[in-house]
Amino acid sequence: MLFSFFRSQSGSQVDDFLMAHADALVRGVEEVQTLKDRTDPAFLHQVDDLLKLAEMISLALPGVIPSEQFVNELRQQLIMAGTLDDVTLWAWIRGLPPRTQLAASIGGATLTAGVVWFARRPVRNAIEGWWHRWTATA
Amino acid sequence: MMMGREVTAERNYTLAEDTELVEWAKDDSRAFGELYERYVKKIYNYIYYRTGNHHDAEDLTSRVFFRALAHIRNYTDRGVPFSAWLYRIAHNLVANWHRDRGRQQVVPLDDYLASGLSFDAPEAAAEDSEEEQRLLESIQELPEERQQLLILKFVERLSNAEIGEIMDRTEGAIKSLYHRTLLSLRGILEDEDPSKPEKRRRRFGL
Repeated sequence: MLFSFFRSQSGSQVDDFLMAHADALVRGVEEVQTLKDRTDPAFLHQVDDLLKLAEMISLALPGVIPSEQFVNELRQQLIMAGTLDDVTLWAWIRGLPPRTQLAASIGGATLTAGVVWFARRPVRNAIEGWWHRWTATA
Repeated sequence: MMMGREVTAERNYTLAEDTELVEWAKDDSRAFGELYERYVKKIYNYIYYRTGNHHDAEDLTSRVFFRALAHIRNYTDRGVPFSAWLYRIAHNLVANWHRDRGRQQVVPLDDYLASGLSFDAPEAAAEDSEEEQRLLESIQELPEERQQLLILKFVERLSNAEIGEIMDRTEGAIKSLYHRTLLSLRGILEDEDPSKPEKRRRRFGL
């Protein structure tokens, strides 16, 4: 693709060229040079400042690598969550800040203990009643 | 979500397309695991450059994948590929993160500048570092969508079609936005020091 027609410099043609340059930057220095070699020098001169700016941006934004520990731990957490029937609750809890997660855990445990205690009351009452009746008849 | 061993043994997770994996992942955790391997680093990068630090990048990356896991059964490809869907989840979580903190979106500076850039000449190193810091500060001043575009293009190295799917725009609109982003950035760099616009431009070789 030749960019000599950019002498006319319609907006979309400049858009196309600048993006072609960005794509070439991502692919490597050789691609950039090839693109420039195929482009009308007069046009290149006109957009030179934008090309240099794009080259600065590409250098200023290098890729980063997450820690291996984080990637492994998250994988394990996802595997564990994947075995649950209702992962929505899990995801919701995960989405909370750490302090709220702790409070939710304590609150959840307290609620569960309360429900168990209430649920066990009739059983305990029945056992106590049976015990009283048994001791009274004995 | 677990599957019988006889079913999963027939599946080639590594060679499967995303669309296949997504269908399998609805009741097969290994398929979701493969999707995770493919995208965790990309999503982490995207979030790192939108939050400005590794701590929040880890926290939000976790949330993205837990949310994806929770909703993958409801996911249907209506012209939005799985990768774009993930980036949209990430984008929404980052937007909420910024809203909760009332902060301007940031492209990382401190972490980046402390990352030990190596140069042969100390003086040149200081000057280059200063220029890069100024450039990153200028990128911070851009509207959110323009920062997003620069990250998706230069950090994530996505095609215009992929960026269009994530940002819900046509390829033509993405190209036009990129052109306008460069012009804005140039304007910000010039305005930074109104008394010395030419000096500023020379520093950047513009």
